[in-house]
Amino acid sequence: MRTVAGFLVGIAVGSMSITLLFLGMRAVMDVGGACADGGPYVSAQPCPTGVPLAMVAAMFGLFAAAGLIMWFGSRIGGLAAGVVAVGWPLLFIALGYNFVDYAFQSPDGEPGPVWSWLIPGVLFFLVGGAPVIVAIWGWREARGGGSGRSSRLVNRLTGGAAADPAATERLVFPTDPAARPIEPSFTSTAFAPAHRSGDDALPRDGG
Amino acid sequence: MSDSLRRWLPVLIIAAALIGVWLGATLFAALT
Repeated sequence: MRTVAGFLVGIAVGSMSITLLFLGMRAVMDVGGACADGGPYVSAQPCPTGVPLAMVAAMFGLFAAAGLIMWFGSRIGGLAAGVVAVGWPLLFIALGYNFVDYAFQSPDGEPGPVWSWLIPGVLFFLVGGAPVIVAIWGWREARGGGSGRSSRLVNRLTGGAAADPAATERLVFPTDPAARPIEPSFTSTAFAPAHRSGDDALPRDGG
Repeated sequence: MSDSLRRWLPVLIIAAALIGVWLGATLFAALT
């Protein structure tokens, strides 16, 4: 129960941090895209009140969230710890959306797209979207029983190979139901001891 | 961890994420 609570707190902190970054970025873009506070000079463009605190807190919050999700997710087993990987595309696509949105609706009222915001927007979409495409590709291949490099990677990431070195190539989606893993799995060997000592880890229900 | 909890985990994950978005928006409004 505490494991699930910690895991969910990690997810809430993560989405809270991405929301803070998203809104903070929009606030900074509203004043032209850059701002500065402090130091020996008078800033031409001071930051909107509270935005620096919100954004710095959100950056640290993302690390805390990733730690919580991986720590407690590895105790839950299965793909729970892998939820942390969703944070990357969410962050980059959310911030990329801001760039593209402001490229076409610039606060300056310039006609046409603002290229210096459109280009980073497209780049952010690529950075955020590429892992999703690769993941879906690998997942489909693994599901289909393929033995390519991407499906081997998916199986290794999700199959709990750390508990049993001989099971490195064990399939998550074997065609024989009897061959499905009954042991709970964890994504990283770094969490194996924590998982082993966990008293609330139950075998998977076989899927 | 009970089986029913495990079954509801995806729903709980989405609920936690939505609560996080709400918390973030509220916190941002309070800070700025």
